[in-house]
Amino acid sequence: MEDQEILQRIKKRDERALDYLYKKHYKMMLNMVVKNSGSEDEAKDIFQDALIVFWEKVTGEAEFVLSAKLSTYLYSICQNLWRKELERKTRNSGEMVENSEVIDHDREERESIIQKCINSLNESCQQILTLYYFEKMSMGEIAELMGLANADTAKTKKYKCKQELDKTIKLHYQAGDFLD
Amino acid sequence: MTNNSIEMLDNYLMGKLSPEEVSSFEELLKSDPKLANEAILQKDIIEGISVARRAALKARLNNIEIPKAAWYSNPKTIGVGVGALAIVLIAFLLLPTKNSSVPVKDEVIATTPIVEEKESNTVANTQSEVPQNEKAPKEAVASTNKPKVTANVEKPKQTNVMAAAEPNVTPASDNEESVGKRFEELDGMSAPNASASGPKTLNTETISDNPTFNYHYKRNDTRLTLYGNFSEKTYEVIEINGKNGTTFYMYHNGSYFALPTTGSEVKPLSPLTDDATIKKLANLRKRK
Repeated sequence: MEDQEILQRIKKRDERALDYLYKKHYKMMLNMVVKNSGSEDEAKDIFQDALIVFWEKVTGEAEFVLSAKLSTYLYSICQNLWRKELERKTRNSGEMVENSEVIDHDREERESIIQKCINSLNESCQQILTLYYFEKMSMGEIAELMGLANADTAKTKKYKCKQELDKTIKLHYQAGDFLD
Repeated sequence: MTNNSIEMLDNYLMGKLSPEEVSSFEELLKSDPKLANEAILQKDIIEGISVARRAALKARLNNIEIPKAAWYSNPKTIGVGVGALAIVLIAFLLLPTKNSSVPVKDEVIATTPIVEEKESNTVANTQSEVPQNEKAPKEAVASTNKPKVTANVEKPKQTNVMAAAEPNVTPASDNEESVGKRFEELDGMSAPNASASGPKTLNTETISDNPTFNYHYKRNDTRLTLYGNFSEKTYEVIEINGKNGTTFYMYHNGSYFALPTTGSEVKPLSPLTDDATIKKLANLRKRK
């Protein structure tokens, strides 16, 4: 697959393009991380994150244009992510336990509630909210992808799904006493 | 809160408001604590949706099977690999062979890894179809620095394996696991006298849609025709030039095949079963 074809597929949210990139460039990224004091598992993790960053870039920017070969672009994302990870590791190893970040338990619990509520939605609601809020697709594109009648139908469905999600989350928040 | 303010909040968080609308909405947020609280909650929800999606994408990638890294890709294991290879080579050079009176060191070994692009033509002649730039490292044909040693060269631009292997070190390279770089000449196995009278070029072609023959071959002194689908997996032609003549083998999809001449007859490709030969060929393929 040529770079441009891969971009087109990602723009259409074809996840198989991501699978293809993962298999194609895995060894190159693995070598980069392993040669820079990383393990294979860390390499895998970094490369997966890099591909997701790439996915978000391509889908999030309407006018996204590759300024280099796709493999070079991915490689530089991996390098940056791995550099940050190495910095984080160095920072953490130099800190005393009592100085480590204060974990915001309330925040963690709120995040956990949100995840549970998202998972409790039916599949089509999860899909439409993801397509709108994460993939940043227009209502027209969502309607086409999901086989809905038109953009207005998609908008109504998204509205209802979002209302349902908000309601469930607020109920859980009240139970956890997070709301004023 | 009105439906309108909820929609405005949604558009605000999704970056869909004009700069003027953003300013006026932020003024509204300052003056309305309830709306400000709702904004924090909505921001968390949108972030939660993104977290869930990223986790799903990651899980998808995580489920993809990638073959274990080759030993040469991990610096920690390179030493072990090189050591093991050195022992095998020393043993190979020092021990006399049982089946041949020709010393092993008099053989020239040239392997020809060939990667094919998807073909639409019925007959694909590898001499004319192979892209010359990016694919070169993958398709490099072993040559030798020794004088008077001839390695078979199928493609005119692939004669310098050392130069062809270099791009593999650049990050921008598309090589996943370069086949070409493995095929440099082994010093101890060069044949000093195999030059001008050395083996002839063996041109290779594939026929992917023959209705009668699938996974067959036909070979004469100068041409090898492969029948079957060879576009998915790389195949490599391995050439061993010794005093007794040139012997051709092929590696494809985990198996080795002898390729004796068949004249005009088409014969099925049957994997070798002789462990000693397989081992020897495997060593040759992995000798770098």
